[in-house]
Amino acid sequence: MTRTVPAPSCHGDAPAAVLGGLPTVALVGSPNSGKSTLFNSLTGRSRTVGNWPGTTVEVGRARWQAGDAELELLDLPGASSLDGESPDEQLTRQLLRDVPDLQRPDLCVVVADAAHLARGLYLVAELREETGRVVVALTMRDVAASRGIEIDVDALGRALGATVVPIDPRQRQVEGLATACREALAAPRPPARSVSPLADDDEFAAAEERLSWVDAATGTAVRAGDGAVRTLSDKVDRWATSPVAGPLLFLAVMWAVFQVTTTVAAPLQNLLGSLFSGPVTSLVQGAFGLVGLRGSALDLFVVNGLVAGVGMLLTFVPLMALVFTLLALLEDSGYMARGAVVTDRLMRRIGLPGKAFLPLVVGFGCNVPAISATRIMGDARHRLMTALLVPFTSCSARLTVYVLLSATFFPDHAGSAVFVLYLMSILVVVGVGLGLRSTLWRSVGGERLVLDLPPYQRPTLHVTVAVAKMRVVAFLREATGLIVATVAAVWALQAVPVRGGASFGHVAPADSLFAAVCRAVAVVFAPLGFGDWHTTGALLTGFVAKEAVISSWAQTYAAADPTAGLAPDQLQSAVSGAFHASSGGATSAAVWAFLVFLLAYTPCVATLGAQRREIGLRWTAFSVALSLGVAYVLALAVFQVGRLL
Amino acid sequence: MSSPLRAVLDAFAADAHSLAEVQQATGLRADVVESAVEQLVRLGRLDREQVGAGCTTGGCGGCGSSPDAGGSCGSAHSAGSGPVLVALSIRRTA
Ligand SMILES: Nc1nc2c(ncn2[C@@H]2O[C@H](COP(=O)(O)OP(=O)(O)O)[C@@H](O)[C@H]2O)c(=O)[nH]1
Repeated sequence: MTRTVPAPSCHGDAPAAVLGGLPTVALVGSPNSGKSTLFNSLTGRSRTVGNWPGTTVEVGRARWQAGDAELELLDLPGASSLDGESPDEQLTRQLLRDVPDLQRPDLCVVVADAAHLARGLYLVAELREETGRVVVALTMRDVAASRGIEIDVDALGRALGATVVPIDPRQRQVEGLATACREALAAPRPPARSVSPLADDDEFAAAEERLSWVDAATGTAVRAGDGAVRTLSDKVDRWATSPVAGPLLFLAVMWAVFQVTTTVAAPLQNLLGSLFSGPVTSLVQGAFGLVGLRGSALDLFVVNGLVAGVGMLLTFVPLMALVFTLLALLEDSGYMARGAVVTDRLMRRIGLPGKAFLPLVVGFGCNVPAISATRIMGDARHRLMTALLVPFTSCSARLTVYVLLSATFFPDHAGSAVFVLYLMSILVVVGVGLGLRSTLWRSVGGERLVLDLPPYQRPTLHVTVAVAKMRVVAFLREATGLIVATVAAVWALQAVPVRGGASFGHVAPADSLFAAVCRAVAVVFAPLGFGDWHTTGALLTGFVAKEAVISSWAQTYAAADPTAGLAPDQLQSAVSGAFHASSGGATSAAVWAFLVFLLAYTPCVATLGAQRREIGLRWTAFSVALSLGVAYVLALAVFQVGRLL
Repeated sequence: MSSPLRAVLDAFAADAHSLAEVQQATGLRADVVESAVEQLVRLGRLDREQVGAGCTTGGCGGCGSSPDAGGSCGSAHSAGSGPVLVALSIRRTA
């Protein structure tokens, strides 16, 4: 690291000590140590704040009447080391160390946060490497006390070789500081602390020495809460992040989320469903009747395509809103960070790069940003491997299909069924990860992560609502944009007849081009138990986005019965019939096979786009093949084993 | 006995998952561990990544404007002041 700074000049950028002719006192300290609060309470309104000449760094400056002494007070920018590289830290270094002795402030007051004492004292260690007066102003003692930290101020002062003054700048309890500063200024400048000589550019050794000094100086003077006065956060974390109870708690929480979602949202969903299939459909049909277009191609498109397909998707809005709100609550409370520890433990145990968990966790929300998030990984092979794993994380779009099918086939255990699918998603990620590691990337080692957990907090309404709202809006945007386009495409394909005797738009869905293509592909799915053309059609459109599975189903079944829109229960019985027929009676096995296939195959075109950007076309193609292969093999296994049970 | 800075670095290389575990492994006070981490990040020995819980786009890594997910991400455009998870790892020297 370079330490070049412009040589100080006696003109222009005037150093601190020559301003105003008064003794100069500089306030220094880490960000958030309470420095500005102190500066304001010492100087009242008389201060000026402006950029330091030649920089964009703000420095406050004011007269300070410290008892009978008038002093010039400088509020230097926050810095936690004199060696830092931020502009703030560079200026602090320039004013405190790089200028000749005489131009330095006459006294440095280090504002140190008692709850993060070593951080603040690191600066003291640096300043005391040279002669110079230092006074330590100890803030945040109330916070420290609440964590069971007790500080013996006198003992600390002796160890540091500097007076330590406890203050609370918010209460203006700062008298002691004025006295300490006057006394320090009256005394000769104390000698530097003794530091055994180090290699000049060995910054690590320098930092090591300073922190050791701080640790030794605080060792006897500070009593940290030892077990007895642990914060509640620590106590909870003891087992929220422990190797056994941690994962169990995490799973229980996730199960509860899905349980609550499926039971609470179901009635709302039915209500919305009957709204679309009833009043909305009649209204639209009535409108077409008025303009004499009843029964026209446009009418059919709007009623059987848009209202049935997109409307069905919109019935999921309450459900999605609920899931997003619950997850936002968990995030905002700080619990999700504990889930990260649990996940990280798993990643490490199976030898996957630790940092991979960051994108993978994001993937459970949406795969697209998760693919971009692989960029944080330094190692190119780790990045590639993670980008191949992300599509197996079950994004929230897949949830809509899980819920529809679970509610249809396992109405009493819908929440648990959804939960099982999420578990499977984790298992597939782990399994494929291990597979890739033992074939393509033998040398990929586990990379260790240490997590700095934020304390638990009471979730705030506005953050939770804002986060949930943003995600619901994203869901709506997808439903009204991409899905509308997909519905239109499917509708057009359904309107093209493949047999003679029918004209465009007037063809039974089963005789359409769409059905013909799907029927051809459906052969492939026959061994999996869902070789029905409607089901296959839903999976094909699911390539565009998983929400399209729902709209496509609703659309193909609605078109078969052009007299009415489709209520959710009608759709459910239609889907149920299809699974029953295509599985030869082993309906449950076929449904599970379908769900597993849906979980594992290519999530959506947007993910493919993101993959292309991050890992290139060839690896994206590999990813598609991998996803389809894994999905097919797993679904085959599930159906073939399941139907024997 | 190794210095606090070295001890913290060693704990990272060993089996710690959270700062609480680093603290247990080293026997150091929380504030000393915190200061050690701050200096190790400054010295380029540790990487620091924020997993911005509030970022609705899904974490800071997903944010195109922040390729290295440095300091400002997570505060600048998160929906509020949700708790921020920070992931630390030993920087690999190429
Ligand atoms: N609890 C507590 N809060 C304090 C104390 N001193 C300052 N604060 C608060 O800590 C926050 C950060 O203080 P500030 O002066 O902006 O820190 P700076 O970044 O060092 O300038 C503010 O909200 C202050 O009100 C203290 O002794 N105890």
